[in-house]
Amino acid sequence: MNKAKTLYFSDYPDLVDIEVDEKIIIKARKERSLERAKRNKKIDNLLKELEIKHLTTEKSGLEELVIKIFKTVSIRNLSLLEIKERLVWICALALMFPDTEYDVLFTVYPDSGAPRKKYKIVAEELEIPKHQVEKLARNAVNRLIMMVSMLGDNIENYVSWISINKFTYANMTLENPKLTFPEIELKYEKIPQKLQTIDNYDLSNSDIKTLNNANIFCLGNLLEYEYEDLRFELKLEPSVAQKVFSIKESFTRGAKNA
Amino acid sequence: MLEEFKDNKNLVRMSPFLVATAVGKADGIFLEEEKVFELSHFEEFSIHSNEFTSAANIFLDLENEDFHHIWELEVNEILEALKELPVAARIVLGLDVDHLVEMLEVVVLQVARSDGDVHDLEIAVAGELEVIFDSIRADSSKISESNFEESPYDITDLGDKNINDSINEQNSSLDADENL
Repeated sequence: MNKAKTLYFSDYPDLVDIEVDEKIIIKARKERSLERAKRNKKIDNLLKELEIKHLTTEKSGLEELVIKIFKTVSIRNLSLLEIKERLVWICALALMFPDTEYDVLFTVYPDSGAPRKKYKIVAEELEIPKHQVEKLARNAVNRLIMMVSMLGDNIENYVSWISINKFTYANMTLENPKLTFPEIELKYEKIPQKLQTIDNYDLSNSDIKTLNNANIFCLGNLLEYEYEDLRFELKLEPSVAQKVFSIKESFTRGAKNA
Repeated sequence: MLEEFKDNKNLVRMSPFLVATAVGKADGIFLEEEKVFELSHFEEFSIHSNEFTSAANIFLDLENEDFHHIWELEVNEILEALKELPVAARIVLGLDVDHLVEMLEVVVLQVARSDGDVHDLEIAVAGELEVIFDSIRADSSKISESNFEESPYDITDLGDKNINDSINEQNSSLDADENL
């Protein structure tokens, strides 16, 4: 019943008498919107901090990436072994990214363990315009932050769908200070459904871009959006909003049945 | 890196040629391509690899391989390509990488000693090669120190023991059948 109300309230406000509900719905929308704005600001601050830190440190790019991504779920300092293990998680998540985004991410934060590279250098190396490199790198970092925010830093949420080879395990568990890029295989059938990327659905590039700009990258990120948020906050066309909303609904139904 | 060496198997197979060329050209003293080829004993390399590695076919008929295009490369290009050897060797040879290092070290010495003295420039290149060889050895020793049974993650390349066990089991059942 509530879903029908929100649909009518969003798209056909003249057809229904919603005087009683209007205030509550608008209030709830505002609250959700404020919460999202707060989260987006936090991500923006982290990205800015990442840029500043880059200019003042010679740390390995991979280490920098791990620390920043996991700062969003826990503020404590990570030990060397914890950084190594989290690097495995990040690399596993990144395997689900579009190819170009993956390449840009691990060229900016080099898989060789070298310090973070400037966008200009990466642009020359990959023969991609600088503005695009910048956009893809930021998108990839945002994607990681949003995915990690759902899984947290609990190993239980990662072990079931990640396989590694002997070398990666040895590197991850021994106290040698070198950070080595992990060699990983994903067990696709065991990847949590909430991590399924929206790129896999029948949506146009511009819709995916709109969703990405709102920090929606996978099914789990859709949970905090109601239909009217998709319509008025993200300004999606009714047909697209309905499609996205039905993707979310079928995911939540599946999660309940599981 | 040169396109040809992006393939791990190819980089491992061509590694003796790369190492021989790097040392052969290091001191700037004219050394003929054929001489380096002869000094490197690639045939021995193939035979030796047959004794120790399960991936011996990688070095099969090495002596018949076309070596000229590698001879044309600059020393720094070769060293750049060889920097990827530790990862490639680990993937292709697994725990047999130690033997590859031993054999490559022999190639370095054979070529460096060819003109009687070991030149400073040859020592410099050998030093760069040593870093690469040490990295391969370190990877191998790291693996042997780890206890994989404690891993909460699935380990993808732990199958060797299981495969060997099944082969042994199969062989003993065949022996038992023959004895009946």
